[in-house]
Amino acid sequence: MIKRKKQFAISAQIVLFFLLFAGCTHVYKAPVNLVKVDQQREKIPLTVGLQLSDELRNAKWEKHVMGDTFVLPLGDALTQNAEAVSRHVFSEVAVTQGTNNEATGGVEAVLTPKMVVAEWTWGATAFGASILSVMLEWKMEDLNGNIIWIDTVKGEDKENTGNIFTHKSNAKKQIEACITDLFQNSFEALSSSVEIMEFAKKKGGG
Amino acid sequence: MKWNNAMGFSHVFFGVFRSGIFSRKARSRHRFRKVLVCVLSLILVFNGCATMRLPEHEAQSFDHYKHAQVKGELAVAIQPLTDKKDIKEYFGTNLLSMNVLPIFITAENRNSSASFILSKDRFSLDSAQSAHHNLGHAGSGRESAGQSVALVGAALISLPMLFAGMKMVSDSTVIQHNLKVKEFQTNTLSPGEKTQGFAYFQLPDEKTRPNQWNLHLEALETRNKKTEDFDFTFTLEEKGGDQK
Repeated sequence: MIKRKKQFAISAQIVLFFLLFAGCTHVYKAPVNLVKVDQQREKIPLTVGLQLSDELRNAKWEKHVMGDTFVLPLGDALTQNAEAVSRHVFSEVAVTQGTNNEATGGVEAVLTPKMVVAEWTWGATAFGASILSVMLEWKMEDLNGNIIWIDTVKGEDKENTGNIFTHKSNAKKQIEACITDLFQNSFEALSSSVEIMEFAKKKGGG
Repeated sequence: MKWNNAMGFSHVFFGVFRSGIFSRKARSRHRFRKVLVCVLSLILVFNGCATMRLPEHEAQSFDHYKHAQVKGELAVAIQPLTDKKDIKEYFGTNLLSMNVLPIFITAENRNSSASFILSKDRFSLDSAQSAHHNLGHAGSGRESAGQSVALVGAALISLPMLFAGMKMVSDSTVIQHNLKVKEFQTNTLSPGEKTQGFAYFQLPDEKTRPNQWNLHLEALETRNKKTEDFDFTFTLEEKGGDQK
């Protein structure tokens, strides 16, 4: 009986040790809903090759805090919205996958989005502000590799950090708002670029 | 008699007790203490435990900058942040103690038709001696015997953070976020547009560090593919105060 009690105590200690010292991974979900943009705007008459690199597909925000890992995978939300926004801006879009840099036939320019910043602050208290910022660099090159236009666009949202019960739902709202802001700003930047419009004109309007 | 005495005693006792504890004077003192505790707690929460906030570094008009140049109607000004007080104010930590020099860069395209790309990949910081050596030997490239330091992305600046609680975790996220968001990003400057941000340079150790530095920037004019070079020489003085 005493032996069994000892065994139980030892196994309880081991379980407690792992519970206390084993780090957990907390994964947030980035919604992959396509961001709504102003569809009334006229498309730029240009056939564009959209380069969605593996780096962008695997883009994420990650933070290690006191043994725990917090992860926000952003790849799907970024690639799917990048494609959707490009299709709203340009008359023709051909998507190139992975690291293949070769432009598809008929393409007049290559557009590459790249995540340059993903940072998330946490408030010191549940009522403290949390800011999520994601920055995308959009680069358009001609077929000779000359840069036509490059811009870095920011998406940001501020929410209360939330307590143990509200943090997840606040975070979800915040991620969605940040992605929406990022792609609405991206749409604005791409569709109003003087340099892209000049290039399209030179190309004879697609 | 006994009953009367007991009643009298209790009457007197509770009367004194009530007047001592719940008299108007005592009640107002009690209320004052309560308010004081609340105010102190609020001060603690909003000062000590509040989420860190770092101010924006606003660009001044070009005339205010000690280091400003205009080439091809592209105006560029720089401000190396060497005052520890300023650095702490804008970044929440002393970057110079980590041998990281933040340089504020602001540019304005005053050309009515040309666009410029100011790419951070084309920024370099050299000791002034080596920069002059390079300029004096045309075609020799920017590599020379002098000291040249690397531009570090905000992501690569490692902050020595010890997480002692939620407040410190929060502060570290705010500092990291601020560093990245304030970083100069590559942009196309269309006619009339402005851009600004910080470039971070990893300096050598204080003991071996020269005082005179040269920041080299290149702007590409998109239409004619012409490059405009900007060179700014400045003295690195850690207690230099206002650099504007």
